[in-house]
Amino acid sequence: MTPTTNTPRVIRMLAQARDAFAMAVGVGILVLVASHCSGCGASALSLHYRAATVATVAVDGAHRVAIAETHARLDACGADVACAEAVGHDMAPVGLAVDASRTALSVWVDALELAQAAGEDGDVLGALLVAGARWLALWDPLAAALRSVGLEVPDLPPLVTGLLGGVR
Amino acid sequence: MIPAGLGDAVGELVTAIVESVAAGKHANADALAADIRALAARVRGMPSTTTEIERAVQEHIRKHGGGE
Repeated sequence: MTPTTNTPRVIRMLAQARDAFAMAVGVGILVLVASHCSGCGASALSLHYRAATVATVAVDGAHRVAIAETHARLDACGADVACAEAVGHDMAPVGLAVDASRTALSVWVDALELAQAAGEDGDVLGALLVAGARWLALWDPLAAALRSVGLEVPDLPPLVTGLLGGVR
Repeated sequence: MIPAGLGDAVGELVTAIVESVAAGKHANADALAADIRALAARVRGMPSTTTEIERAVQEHIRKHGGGE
């Protein structure tokens, strides 16, 4: 190839680079405006609200799966009372795990409600993160309890684990 | 094999993620506060799994004559 035949290609590349730069600047300006626009950006409280909403659905789903499994096992027992009592015994750890998760979720959402009233200062948000992280820490034990009776729950999305996963 | 109810749970989780992303775009602080209050009420209204399991077992035993 000669420099002459490369010239149109170089010009095209420069034009593409210019367009890409202009687009990047445009997107950057949009992000900057959005992040400083009161009420239209995703605030920390809004992020917690979204994560807690997903957590609520997850806990509710775990509850319903556990209850459905209990009824299925009881139906299989028929009139065998000892079998029914064994179902209660086997499902008890699952019930405790779901209830522990629900209690931690309740604390987190209560903290979110208080934070909404108190405003987004550093201490409030720190306490909110800790409350959320405590709920997240109970998710693996809950999943293990469900697995112990042959059930599984879906993985939590990055929306939740990304917000709370790094908190200790 | 998917255990009973798990398919629903997965579907609802996906729906919740989509809805929560949409819900995250609150027009103002009052709208967010209202949604947080509604979420708190929903969580407080969630039943105890332990209690429901125990109740299901006792009702099953009673239904089959074991409690008489």
